[in-house]
Amino acid sequence: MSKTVIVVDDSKLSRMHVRGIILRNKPDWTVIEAANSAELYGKLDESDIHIAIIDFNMPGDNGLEAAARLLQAKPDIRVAIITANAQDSVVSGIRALGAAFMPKPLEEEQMVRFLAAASLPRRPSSNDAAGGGAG
Amino acid sequence: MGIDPADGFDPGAIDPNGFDLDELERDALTELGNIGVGRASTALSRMIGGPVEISVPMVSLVPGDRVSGLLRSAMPGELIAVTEGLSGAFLGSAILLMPERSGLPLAAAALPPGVPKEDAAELVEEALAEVGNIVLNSCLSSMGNLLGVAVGTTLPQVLRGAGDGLLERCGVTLTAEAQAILFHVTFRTPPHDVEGTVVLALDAGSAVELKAAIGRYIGRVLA
Repeated sequence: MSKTVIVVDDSKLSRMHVRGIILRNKPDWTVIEAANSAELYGKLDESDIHIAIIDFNMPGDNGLEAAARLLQAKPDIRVAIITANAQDSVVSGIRALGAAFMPKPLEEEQMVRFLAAASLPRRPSSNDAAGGGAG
Repeated sequence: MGIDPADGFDPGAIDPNGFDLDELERDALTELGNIGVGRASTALSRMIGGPVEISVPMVSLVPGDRVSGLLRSAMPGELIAVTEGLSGAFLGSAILLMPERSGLPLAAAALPPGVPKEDAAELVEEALAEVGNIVLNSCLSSMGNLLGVAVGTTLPQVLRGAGDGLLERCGVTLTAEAQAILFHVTFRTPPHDVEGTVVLALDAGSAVELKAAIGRYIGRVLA
């Protein structure tokens, strides 16, 4: 079934990159974009978003803060946070939210695995849809 | 996180000599810097054994003759520079600049616990060299890998001073033909605020080469 994904990143190039990966692998899905957290909050009620892919290091609320607020409003959304910052504090924060950690530079294969896992009904015990990504 | 970028940086600075990047090239360079700084913060956090907060890097392209004026407005006063020469695909210098007051707390955080106080003083320079080396090499290696070019660096040197004199000792060419890329980023290592700017000073030929490499990178990302 077709899903709607929101890609939140202050880099336009990154958003284009993620959009390309999603549509290459899931041609019937819908991708919407937000350039920062504020834009994400503004678009939450515009459409029925199933999946959010959020950059960590952004102006304003960072990806963790954005994901926390997003999940509070819409607990069923599947979230991946992409970051080159793999500090323990960041990774454990991502895990605590039940989001997937996705290292930058992005690997298409890993994104595809996350999209596949996020398409399935949520398993109660799973708290990391993409599997171990912390390396 | 809410770390404000420094005043005095104009990310939209236009180079009168015609070296400029279009919107997507600038975005790509910012993203490369963002990945580099993210990697650097991970390494730095391991080194100091605690969290490191980083701001979103602000990227400025500056002709060589405007570098010191811009840095003076962002970081007035005495500075510490950890500098490495570049070899390979790009020629120039990579520099981690920080205000003098950031030096001691950063060095103290980087030294292993249990270093006797009397040894700490002489280890400060060594610790700063190591921090600079980690930050610069994390940035340069991730950028080089993404751009598909090999970037080599010489061993780090720690220098102190201000203005043109300091930049010249770091090997920066302060002429309008040379090109500097400034990634201004704030590292915050609670309880201290440690500020730093990563400067990539490239000679004129290397700046053109960088633009070409960024173009190829964009092509690969959007393929």
